[in-house]
Amino acid sequence: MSVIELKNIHKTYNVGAPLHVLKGINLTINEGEFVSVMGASGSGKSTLLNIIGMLDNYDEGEYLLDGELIKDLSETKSAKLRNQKIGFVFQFYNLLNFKNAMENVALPLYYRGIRRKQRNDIALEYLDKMGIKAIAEHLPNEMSGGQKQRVAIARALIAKPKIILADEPTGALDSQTSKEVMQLLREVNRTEGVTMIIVTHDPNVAAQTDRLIKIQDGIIGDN
Amino acid sequence: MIDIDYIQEIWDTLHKRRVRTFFTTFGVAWGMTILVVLLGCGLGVERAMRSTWGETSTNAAYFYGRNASLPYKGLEKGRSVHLKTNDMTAIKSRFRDIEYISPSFWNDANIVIRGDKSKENVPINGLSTDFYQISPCLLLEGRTINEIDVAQNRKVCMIGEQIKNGLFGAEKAEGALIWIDGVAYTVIAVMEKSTDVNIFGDPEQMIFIPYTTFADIYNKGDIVDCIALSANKNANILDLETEIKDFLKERAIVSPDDKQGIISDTTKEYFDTVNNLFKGTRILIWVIGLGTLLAGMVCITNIMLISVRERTQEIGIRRALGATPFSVVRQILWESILMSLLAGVGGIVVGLGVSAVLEDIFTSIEGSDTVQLKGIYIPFKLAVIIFIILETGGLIAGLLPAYRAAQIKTIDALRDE
Ligand SMILES: Nc1ncnc2c1ncn2[C@@H]1O[C@H](COP(=O)(O)OP(=O)(O)OP(=O)(O)O)[C@@H](O)[C@H]1O
Ligand SMILES: [Mg+2]
Repeated sequence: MSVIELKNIHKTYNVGAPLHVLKGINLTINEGEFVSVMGASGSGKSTLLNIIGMLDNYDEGEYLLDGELIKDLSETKSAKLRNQKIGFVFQFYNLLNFKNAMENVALPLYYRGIRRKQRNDIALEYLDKMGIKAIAEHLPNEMSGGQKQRVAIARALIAKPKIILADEPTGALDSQTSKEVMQLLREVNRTEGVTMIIVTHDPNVAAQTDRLIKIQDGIIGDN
Repeated sequence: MIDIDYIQEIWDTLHKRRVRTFFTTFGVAWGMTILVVLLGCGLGVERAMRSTWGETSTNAAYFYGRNASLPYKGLEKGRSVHLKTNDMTAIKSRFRDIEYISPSFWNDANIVIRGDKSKENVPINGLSTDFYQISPCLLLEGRTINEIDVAQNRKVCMIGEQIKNGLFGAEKAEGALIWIDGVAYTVIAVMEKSTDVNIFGDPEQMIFIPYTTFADIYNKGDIVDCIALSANKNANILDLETEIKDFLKERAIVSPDDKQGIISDTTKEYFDTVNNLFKGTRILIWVIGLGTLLAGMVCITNIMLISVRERTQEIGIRRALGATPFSVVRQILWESILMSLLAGVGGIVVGLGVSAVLEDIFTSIEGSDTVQLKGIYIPFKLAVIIFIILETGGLIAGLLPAYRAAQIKTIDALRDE
């Protein structure tokens, strides 16, 4: 069953000269898939991910998320949907630096209206799954890159999303840590059945996924 | 909806940036402190001033007969106009708003003797029992003139403290006999002034006797020198003054246009002048205080704007994790409100502390007449009002930053590294 269905998606940025970034993307991703997206810098990978994550709008085409048409949503609606269905993992972690690991992980549950005590307990559980319960009280600037990315993955998982969108999750990590993070993502994919879309420049990373999607000249290229 | 969990999240955010929070709130707290101390001092001066007024009726008027300046109904000008004792009863039955009414006679007693001590040229007043309500004094000894004294023309007198000191020294005066211009009176009271506003004169230097006795001894018949009265609080004494004056003119056959025949005065004008002075002072204090607060508010707005800018990424992250624009707006507003709350509580507490210290200093300068302050503090109600103003201000201070925060686009925020 498809969770994501993109039909002829177009996206143009109008800053100065119009920049037609996505020129008709057609893509279907099924539930529980573990895919990677590759493409040259500036080819529109992040743009695509932002559209899937409802952080950005598209100009033309149709995007169905879980069978629901995602088009011209209000900010409030998209925020709610994001909170329910999507987890983000970023290249530079994007942790709140004044909150410790546990509080960072618990944040999505805060926006779901779950009480502090309960969400912190759940956060600890997820940190434990990531193997970093010991640093629950640490602030981001007291963590290594790998630890930060694990915290970010725990945060992406805590609200039990359908999909995790990871934009170069290993881009800032060394090869060893990168490998560990990929293993972790794979495990999450297997055990929790979460659909995983990973944007990467690293062929080794792409090689660990089940499917590779190439973006070229604003459309999906041959695999 | 006020949710403890929610407030705690806001509080955490402020607490984790405590240095900034402190300096931001400091500006507002400082404004609060200044406002509270200034208001306290202003009110202190006012209280001190009012306490010298004592219980003096602020709604009193007095009327005198003079010489008519216009001929009227066959009567020539220049004649003396006299108020009569029955004018009082007439006024009282005609004007329902009059609470107390007393005639006043005055004279200077040539000599007052007690044993081998004496005092010359002592002002002596003849009054009814109501005088005490119109222009009260404090009793150091004894009782005030009562109905029986008036009804029976008793030869009793209330003497001022200074007279008593001259005639009796440290001895007790109540019950003793004194001779006023050859007539023996029993002292029933020693008076001290309770206020600086005395319609009948400074009681400490005077002698009061029943007006009936006065009329008897000094052959006044039914003529009174002055009629003093006070109206209830809600009556407009200035209107009453004109009405009563017209009424008295008619009774005394004086032309309504005669400005001289019967003259009058009220305490209200005096009190109004002083009250206006206080009002002016208060306005000035509010202007200064609110100005300072406003500066504090601008400071909050400013720092929140910088903060929103700096927190673009944070806001982007929160939005990506499911924060609605409304929840971002709400967060910024609450931060602003909480900061002004902290500042408000801090400022009021410090302000009250400073006020208390100031009051200690002032009261420790003992017996000093130059220090005209009584109780430097602000009433609870005023504190509540200030607080409400402050919180509203805090909300307003947060509006612009909140708007800016809501404008932030998540993707842009996340791209900023
Ligand atoms: N908000 C924006 N406004 C204007 N232009 C944008 C915006 N976001 C992206 N672009 C442009 O769109 C193109 C695609 O950007 P995008 O970030 O999707 O590329 P990418 O494939 O993720 O590249 P990279 O591998 O370097 O991350 C780029 O040329 C970029 O400059
Ligand atoms: Mg990118």
